[in-house]
Amino acid sequence: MTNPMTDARLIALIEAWGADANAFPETERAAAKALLVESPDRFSAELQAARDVDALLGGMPDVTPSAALMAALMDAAPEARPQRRSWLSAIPRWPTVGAFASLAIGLAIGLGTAQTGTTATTEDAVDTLVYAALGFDVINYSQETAQ
Amino acid sequence: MSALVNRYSPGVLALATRMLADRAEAEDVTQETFIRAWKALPTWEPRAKFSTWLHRVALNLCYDRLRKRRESTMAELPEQVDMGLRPDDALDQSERVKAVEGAIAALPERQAAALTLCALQDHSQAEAAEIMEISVEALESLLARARRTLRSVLMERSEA
Repeated sequence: MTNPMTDARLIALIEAWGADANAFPETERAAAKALLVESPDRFSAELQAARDVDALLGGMPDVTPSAALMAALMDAAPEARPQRRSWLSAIPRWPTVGAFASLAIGLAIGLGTAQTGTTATTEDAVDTLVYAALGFDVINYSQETAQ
Repeated sequence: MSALVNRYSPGVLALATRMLADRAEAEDVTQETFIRAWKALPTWEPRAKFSTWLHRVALNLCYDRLRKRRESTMAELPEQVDMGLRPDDALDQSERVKAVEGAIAALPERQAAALTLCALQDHSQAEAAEIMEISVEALESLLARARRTLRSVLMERSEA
């Protein structure tokens, strides 16, 4: 629920925030826009005056720091402390290594003991196992390859 | 550190440049602002957004310099500069920019700050008000006065 917008309030908004209603405070924007649509001519003088100022301000160039200033700012910055290596970081990532080892052993046993005349069903099962182990979404992957 | 410099130095420099209308002084303010930031960072407590805090520091440094400038020129007669845009300035963008820069710098400092933060930079209303430590209503009032003065200085004189 928004407060009703009065002419005086709309003029105050235009004078402060400019001719673009999108710059008005959010809580009043919708009501202001509605009033502007309802009576566009009633505020034309205020809108034109605001547009003149908007155009002047909009034409101002960006200010960019020089390379020398950037360098001076960085020179003044404190040195980043070298991060101490945690003893935890020295431990190898065994779970990842273990997962890959299990996958390799499983595949080797599975493929070694599989029947030579594989059916489509067992191929699918192996594919599913391999893709899942590698992190693929099997359904999406199948759809993509089908396309 | 370089991420902070890359991200925030353009805004801080732009604010100081518009407030002081002097590039060298604006660069000094930018450096001083970042030196304060580097000192504050180890004990930084996020009571406000870092960007808000940084711009507030820069703005206060600008106010200090403007105050000192006023005190040192108090004895001298103020220079009357006609900042109105002449009709033949219409095609000369650099003249126009100079006139607008001069007019903004000649505004009362809080009006200049409100205009710079809201109309020339991408600060939200709430953030601009927070940087200036005022309410959004007060910000709106400053903006309206700033824009009115700017128009009367730059447009109406050229229309006359």
